[in-house]
Amino acid sequence: MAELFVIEKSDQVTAVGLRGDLDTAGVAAVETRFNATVCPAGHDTLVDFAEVGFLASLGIRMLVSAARTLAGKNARMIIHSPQELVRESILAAGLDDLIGLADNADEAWKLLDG
Amino acid sequence: MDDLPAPTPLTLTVDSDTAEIARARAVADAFLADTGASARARYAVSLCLEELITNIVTHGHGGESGHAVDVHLERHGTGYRLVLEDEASPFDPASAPAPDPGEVGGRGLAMVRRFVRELTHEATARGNRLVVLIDP
Repeated sequence: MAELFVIEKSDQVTAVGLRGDLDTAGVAAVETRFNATVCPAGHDTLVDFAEVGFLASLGIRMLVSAARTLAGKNARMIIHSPQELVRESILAAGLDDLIGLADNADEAWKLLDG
Repeated sequence: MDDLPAPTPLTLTVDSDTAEIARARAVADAFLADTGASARARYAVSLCLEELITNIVTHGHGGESGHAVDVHLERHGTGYRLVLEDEASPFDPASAPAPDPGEVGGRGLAMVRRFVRELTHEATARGNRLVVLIDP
């Protein structure tokens, strides 16, 4: 089962993490809280993926939906620290234009600063 | 030296209900672990079961449970062969368009294709047969 944890919530940036499998059951467990945490503020958002072990298209759908909401508020979403196979899923899903991807948290913060 | 005997293929039937996918994935993953599959092969099979059964349930049966989906997994050469047979209307995933970057959904098959060597479809008298070849 997946979980969401909040790392930082400031006036400018929301940083959260996800843990577990983002499959049918995992997305059902976190989607409402993920959207409620990320979308209303409309801030640039960092999503720590280090503890996500599996990513299905339902998880991609959750991320794309939130990223589009953020884009409508001129904010960006950046996923960082994905495991190798999860990273490959993200690339296969073709999210490059909508969601940033960074190898680690430092790189993600630099992308926001850039 | 003689080759080790091939492990007995895995066969199970799940209902056309997305709640059944977790069970199929767990059983398949245990089979793969027993046969020494790589992390990538285990991920690939899990992704195939998640996405392809979701498609069968959602698009093939309109979300209706009560229809059988047969899952067959076996060693095939040095890799694996996964076969899914359903009772749904004919649908070839290979005919599905590439995902539109502007759309929220439609990315499951693109993800599957990334992780498998080959995905083929055959219409059967009963419905559909999907055959997926996965590298070791």
